[in-house]
Amino acid sequence: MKKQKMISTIMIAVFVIVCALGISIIMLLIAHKDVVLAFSKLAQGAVGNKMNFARTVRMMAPLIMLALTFSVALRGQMFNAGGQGQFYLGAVCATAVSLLFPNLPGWLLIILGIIAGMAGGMLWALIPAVLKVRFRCSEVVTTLMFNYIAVYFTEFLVRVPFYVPGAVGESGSTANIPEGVSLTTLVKGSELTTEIIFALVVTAIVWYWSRWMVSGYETEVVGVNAVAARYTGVNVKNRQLLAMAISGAIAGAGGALEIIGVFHRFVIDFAPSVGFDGIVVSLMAGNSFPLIPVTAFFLSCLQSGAKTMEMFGKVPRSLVDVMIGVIIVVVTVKRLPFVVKGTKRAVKENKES
Amino acid sequence: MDEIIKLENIEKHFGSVYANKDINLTIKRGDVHSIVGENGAGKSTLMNILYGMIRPDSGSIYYDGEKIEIKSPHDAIARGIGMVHQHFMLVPSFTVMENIVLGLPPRGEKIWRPENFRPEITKIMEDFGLEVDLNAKIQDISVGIKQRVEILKILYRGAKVIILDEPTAILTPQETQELFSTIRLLIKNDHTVIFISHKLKEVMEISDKISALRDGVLVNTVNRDDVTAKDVAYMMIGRELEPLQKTLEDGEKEVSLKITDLKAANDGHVAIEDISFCLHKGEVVGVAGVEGNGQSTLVDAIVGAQGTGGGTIVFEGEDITGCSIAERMQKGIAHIPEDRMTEGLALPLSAEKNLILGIHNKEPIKRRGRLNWKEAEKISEELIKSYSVKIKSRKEAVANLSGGNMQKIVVARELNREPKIVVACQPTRGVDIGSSKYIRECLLDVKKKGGSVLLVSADLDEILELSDRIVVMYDGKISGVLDAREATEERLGELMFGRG
Repeated sequence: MKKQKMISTIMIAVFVIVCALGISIIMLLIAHKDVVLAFSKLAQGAVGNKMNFARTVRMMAPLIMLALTFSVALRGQMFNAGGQGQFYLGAVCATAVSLLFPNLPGWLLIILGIIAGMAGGMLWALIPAVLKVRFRCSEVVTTLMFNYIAVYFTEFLVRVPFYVPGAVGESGSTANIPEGVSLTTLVKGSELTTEIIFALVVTAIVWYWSRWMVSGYETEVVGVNAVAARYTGVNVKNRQLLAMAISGAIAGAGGALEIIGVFHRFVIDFAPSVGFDGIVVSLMAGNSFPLIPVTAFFLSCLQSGAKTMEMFGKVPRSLVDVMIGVIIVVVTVKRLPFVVKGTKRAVKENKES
Repeated sequence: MDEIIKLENIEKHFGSVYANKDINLTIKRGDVHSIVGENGAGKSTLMNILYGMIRPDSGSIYYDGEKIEIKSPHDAIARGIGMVHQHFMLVPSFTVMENIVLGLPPRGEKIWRPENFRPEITKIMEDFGLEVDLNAKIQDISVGIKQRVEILKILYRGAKVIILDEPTAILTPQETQELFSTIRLLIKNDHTVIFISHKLKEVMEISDKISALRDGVLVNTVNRDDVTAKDVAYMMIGRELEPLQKTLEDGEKEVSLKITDLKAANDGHVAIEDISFCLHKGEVVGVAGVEGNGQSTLVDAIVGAQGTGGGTIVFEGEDITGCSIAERMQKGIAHIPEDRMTEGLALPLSAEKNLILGIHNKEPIKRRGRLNWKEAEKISEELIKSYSVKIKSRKEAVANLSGGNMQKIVVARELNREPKIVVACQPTRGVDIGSSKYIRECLLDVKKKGGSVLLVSADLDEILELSDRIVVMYDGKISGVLDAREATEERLGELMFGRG
């Protein structure tokens, strides 16, 4: 049973990708573009050489973290559209720790930065979560709105308390964090650091939690049927708060890792679509945690290869946005044609036997 | 032409399951033709095919000897086939009159005036003895009257063949009798009625012909006069069904649950008030009443899903009024919720995950802080076996199970905790006869072992069959308590209407 479910999830993911590619090809044909050239350049830009591949893998890390953010919350029937804001809060907290205590050793600042980032993200997720379980405010709206608050609140932090006079400050960035606060680079000359390993470890931990921990199991039941969970003694509100807390902490950790691993300073609105992209990755993986790194890889291939495609394939990179759009439309379709066909075939076999 | 409807070789499958297989059925004009069968036998599917809600995979339908194709309920109504569904299709904020004429094309006039239809509707009401206040709003009238409105609605649309889908499931015994007199008047006026039910007593009372479906196959069609209720039951389930053995015991017994002056509100309205009664060890207490008279609130207050506004609940000498659901479960109160789909089960999850719900946070399932799936496998395999749940494997999602098997999962889960009290709400609603009997036996078993059962049910037969004492609720209060020996359907019916 389990295996079949996994196979059908993978089939859906493949179908989604095929659809996205198919529609993009049609668009390219209508525009009289060279399809083969465009896609080969896209592939080349994504995985064509060591550096490109490293960039693609590097881009996976925040996608994985934000996809987990969305998936974990959804387990508890919470629609966390606020990964973006939680991500920024985590990033700014990690930056602040390093800037406030520059004399601490680097390894300690990394740990403290990640912890601060998790705390910041968690807080940012818990406010809407409490509003939801206590006053039934729709978490879709509040988490979404909290994204805007996060953008402007972090801008305020950059412009006022952490303002550095001069060009850096005026451009909307904090000072750089100390040299020692950085992760090991995996491919020389690229931005690929151990951040990706962190992201994979977090995926494994979340998967373990959902499968083996009592609270993970309870959260799953709450997500599926909160009334049944309540009648069997599960504290539903508690579990929903927990799901949101974990969710926010993951987003916050994701933000902290981006600062420590790549940016080394907080720039206002430095990754404006990462939260949204995370939701796309999560939806493509269809509620399966182990599949998230796979779908994240696909999306980061698209984004990583887009630039090369524009430069050498003579196709604007917004084509990638179109593909992402198609993906969203297809993943939200509940009754995919081949699923229906599958049952028809089963019936036929049944009839014959 | 004597035959009004003829179904020939009707087949329909959903997924890999046949809902109807090669069905041939002839319905005579002026008959009350009952279609009986357990849940999932394919009765509703067959009727939905006749009414155009579902298209059959193959087969043909004849009306008055002429082959017809019914593509939608619209076609069915145009042919004179009308259906009253189990769940009413009425607009609560509209009046009865507006509901009856809703959706009919205006006849000449520019402005839709329901009033113009009044004389015709009044005539139908008189002809068939269907008295209804046409100006009342649907939201203010009782379930029985709503059903009448539905019948009026299809009669007004010219229905000659009327399909009633489990019409008595929601009625009190008195209301059922009123419905039956309506049916008799319909027959007198040259109408034909198709009556779907699994209540044998009613079927035997009202029908001319009886057809039984089992697993999507038409078993047989018989004349009512040629058979006994036992024969029909045999046709339905394919085997003999022995009656339940209930033993009534006398003498003082220890009090298990004592409820005193309980009061609770629902959405700001007082839902129950002045509720006081005891549940003894080794006793089944039935709670009867027309649905919506406070039973659900009472149950929620007992299991802890709802706060109380006064009064006490004492369990084995300990006041549990302020305890949470989990604490009450821990003390030994089990709950079979009213609706297994929305309240009892996590449908997309596996049977295994559903069966360990409630024991998942204790040894042996929880071991060293994590879930022990090996133990869960052992327990769920055991339960599936001992309750003979029909399922492919414990990993199958419960959503794929039939109603009876879903309910068995709920019952297995709750009784597995070996509770001292079982609060069972509509434990056999929509459950096939075989499983119903099994579930009832399980409840009697709890009693035999010295536990107590509070049985809330809309099915009076079930209440009478199982209970030692019966508490009747009306309008949020207890309108009477009867000993099982002195309880009759008539007496219960009176109390259910607050006439004591």
